Amino acid sequence: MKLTDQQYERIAQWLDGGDVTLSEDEQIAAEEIRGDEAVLCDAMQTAAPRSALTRAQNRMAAELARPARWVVWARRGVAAAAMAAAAIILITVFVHMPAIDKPKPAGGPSTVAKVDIPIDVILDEMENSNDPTDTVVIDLLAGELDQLQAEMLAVSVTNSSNNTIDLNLNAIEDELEDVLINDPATLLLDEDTQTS
Amino acid sequence: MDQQRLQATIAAAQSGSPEAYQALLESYWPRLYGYFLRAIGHHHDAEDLLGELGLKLVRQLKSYDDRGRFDQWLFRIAANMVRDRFRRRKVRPHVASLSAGGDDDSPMSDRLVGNSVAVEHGLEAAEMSRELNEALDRLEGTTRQMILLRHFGEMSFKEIAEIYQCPVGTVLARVHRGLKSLRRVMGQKSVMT
Repeated sequence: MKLTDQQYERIAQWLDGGDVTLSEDEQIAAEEIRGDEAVLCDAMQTAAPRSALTRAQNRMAAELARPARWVVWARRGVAAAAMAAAAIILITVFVHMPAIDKPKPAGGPSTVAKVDIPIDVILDEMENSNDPTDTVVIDLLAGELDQLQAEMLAVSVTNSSNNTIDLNLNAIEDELEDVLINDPATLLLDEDTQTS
Repeated sequence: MDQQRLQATIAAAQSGSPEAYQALLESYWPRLYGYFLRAIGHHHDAEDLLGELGLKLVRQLKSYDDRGRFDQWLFRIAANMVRDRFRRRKVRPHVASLSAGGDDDSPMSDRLVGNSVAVEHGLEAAEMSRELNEALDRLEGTTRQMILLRHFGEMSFKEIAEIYQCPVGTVLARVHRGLKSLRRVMGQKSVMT
């Protein structure tokens, strides 16, 4: 008995519990299919070992205990971002770090950077410094400055007195010239006086 | 499990209750195991597939939306798993000889369903089970899956047609031919009592 697609369609609906009226041939086929399925049902029985269920449930429990995948990826993302930020900060610090002064030799005076800074500024800084070696240096420099100032003062005084004498001499010479120019007899008389 | 209790258990599992997940698997595991075993023909593979299905249940249950039957949804996942397993294997292992050694160095007869059944249901049932395995092995893959889903999945022809995207009449025609073939291979005497 060969059935068409439409007949199989109606038989399938009938077997699925649909409200379908079958022809005699269709009814025979439907009963045959139903009978074969019932017999097969007995043959299909299998002994399912309980261990299979236990193992499956253990795997399921392990999967449920894991954090959600998005949580895992979020944690990885945060860690990666933190490491990247730390790397950027470290690179920035190393690139922009200012030049470091040479370390002080033990017991020696502090060195001063060679820059065109007025001595007064340097001394003010050193006076404000709390370093005891700086205080010693300040005293030495102050002493030298005082000495220099005294010498300069002495020189200036000497220079100034010499300058005064020069000025007096110049004035006397000027007066002499005036006299000589204006009264030449005075000079001849003196010469006559000297020759006799 | 009645329908009301099933819906409550599904809701609890979707909320994250481990006990609810365990209860769902326990409700359907004999049918699922039987389906995997008849589809694949190997105890270890059936056990492995059952474990994988438990994982898929955890990962995909949130996508179940109560519109269809839950066991149909479950067996659709199972059918896809079997299809994928065959694709990876490319060939279903033949039950060529009961005394041939398997890949785990045990005789194939030890790995057939009939051998484990023999302890509990007697030699006659074991022999019938062995013949059934051989007969199923001779069927075309899709026809075999349709017959197994009809039995273990308790699916209607319409539901099977939706899975395989073919007309309902085509599903019945293939099942009808498959059942005739099984009857022929196993013998009128064994199957049709």
